[in-house]
Amino acid sequence: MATKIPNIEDAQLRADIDRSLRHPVMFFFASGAAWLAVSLVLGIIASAKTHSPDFLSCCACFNVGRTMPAHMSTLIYGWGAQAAFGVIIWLMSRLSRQECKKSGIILAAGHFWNLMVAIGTLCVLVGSNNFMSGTGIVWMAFPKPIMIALAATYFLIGIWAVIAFRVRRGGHIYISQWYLLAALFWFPWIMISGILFSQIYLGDGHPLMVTASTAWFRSALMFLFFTPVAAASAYYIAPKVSGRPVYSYSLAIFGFWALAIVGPWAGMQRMMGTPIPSFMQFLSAGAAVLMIIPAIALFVNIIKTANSNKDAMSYSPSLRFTVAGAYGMLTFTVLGALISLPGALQYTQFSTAQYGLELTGLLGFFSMCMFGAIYFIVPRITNREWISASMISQHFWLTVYGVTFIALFYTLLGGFMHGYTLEQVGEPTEAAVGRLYPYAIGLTTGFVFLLIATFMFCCHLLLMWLRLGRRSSHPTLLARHAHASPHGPEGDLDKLESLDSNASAN
Amino acid sequence: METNLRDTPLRRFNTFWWGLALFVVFGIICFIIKNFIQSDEMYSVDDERGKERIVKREQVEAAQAALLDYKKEGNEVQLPPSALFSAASELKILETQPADSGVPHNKEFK
Repeated sequence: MATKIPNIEDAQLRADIDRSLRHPVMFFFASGAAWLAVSLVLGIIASAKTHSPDFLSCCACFNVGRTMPAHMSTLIYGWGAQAAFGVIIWLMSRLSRQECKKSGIILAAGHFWNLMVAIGTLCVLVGSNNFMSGTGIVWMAFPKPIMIALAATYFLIGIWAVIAFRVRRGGHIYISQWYLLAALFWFPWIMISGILFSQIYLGDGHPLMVTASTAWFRSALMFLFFTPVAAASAYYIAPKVSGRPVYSYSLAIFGFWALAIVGPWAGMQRMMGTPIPSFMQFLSAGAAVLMIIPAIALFVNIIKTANSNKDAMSYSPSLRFTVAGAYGMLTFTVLGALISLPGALQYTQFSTAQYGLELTGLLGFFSMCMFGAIYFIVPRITNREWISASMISQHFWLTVYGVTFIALFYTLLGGFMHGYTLEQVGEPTEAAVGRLYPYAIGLTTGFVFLLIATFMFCCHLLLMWLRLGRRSSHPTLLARHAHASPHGPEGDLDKLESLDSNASAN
Repeated sequence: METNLRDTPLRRFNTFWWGLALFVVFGIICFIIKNFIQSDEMYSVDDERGKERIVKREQVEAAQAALLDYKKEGNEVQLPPSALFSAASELKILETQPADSGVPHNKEFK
């Protein structure tokens, strides 16, 4: 009996932490999912323009030059950043065993972040020609004031996770905390460097250096912010759901340091052949290839940990998405290494392969890990279980189909074919566009799969936020058992509560 | 549950301000790099390449001029073209008419 008291206290503490973070975390997840849907709609429009130029030609705001940057910006700052914030603040509080005491400030900052993303997206789509016009810089298309406001808002969101870590209970620092803390510090470094060098110092009259610093910014944001957050989530979900410890803790630490050492050097390989120092181009190409090392460390650890309990992998939505994310990470880094090889860059540098690679990383790796985390976190903070296992299953498979179309068909095949045709001196540019036609249709198809999946996910998440989920102590599982409902018996919590009230009345 | 000795208001306060300082430090470092380390002098790629081309052209012209300069090897003397023209006019070499031939456009061709 004496050993149960700390467990009860710990469960109470976990419940208090979940309650303290319910609104900010749900807000980040729900608004992030909505931005993902918006981003995919914009992506479909931009992609459809490639193979059907007359599509939505009635309005200038649907031009590729506007929809494409709006699509990427909403994907990064609308969905990616907000999903990451939700996971960071919940995971750091849980692992540090600290309630969040400033959830109101985080929620207010979250609203402001969304307002800035909405204004920035409108500015890009409207295409005005003043200080609030889109910059046209890839991944930093929002106007300068919006980017500065986003960086400042980040401080009000992230600092509470750092404080939770500093005042944590217990001495052990989990590998997930290593990754989260690194992401919390790397994000302002990348954002401030990117804004200052790409938008403020070099914005006027240095197009070459803007392109170079933006190439680094894109790579750094992917490798030093989205990757560590996804890795932290995977290192939390895999052992938690499978009920086994991480396969190799030393491998996990090695993977972390490999990422920290190699990650910042990648990015400049996109500038191959330009008049910037050659060592930077080749060093970055080498770093992009070496990123396979931390990816393999993460992949081996997650797969080995998840495989230790194969049943859990078949029925847990969180684990299934996380394992798919680990495969996505491996695919992303292998594709990245392949198209960054100096021999391959002549075909991929100016082709669609670079855009496809970014989509593979953001959707196939990062988003998969975030979906896994959301399916794990939301029932705990809403005190409800997911409504439909089939909706989760469809969300998973449609996302997998969509990402496969984008990664293999569009990025690998389309990227190389497009680049190969561009390289042919005797061929007109129209030939390259014509060669891209089937792959552009493939991209649109992939986006449509993802949009349907995201729509289902959004509806599901919204119902959970409204606390319309199942009231049950049995989680919603994917595998159907012959002897019982996959959801477990309905209303068992109500029965327990009525028994409890009867006992206390007697 | 045991008390958490780490969780003090002072520690939370310190962390907030250290976090803010670190946040600002990134900007300050970028500012220092831009304004104190990086030179504001701009180089045009065309101008820099042009300077290299001019140097190369001067070298080529000097080498060509050296080839055409006065040179004496045994009984043979090489004169620069300018000297040859004055000597040729003195010797009336340039007034010599081409030989008659049946080649089209020749004066004698009919």
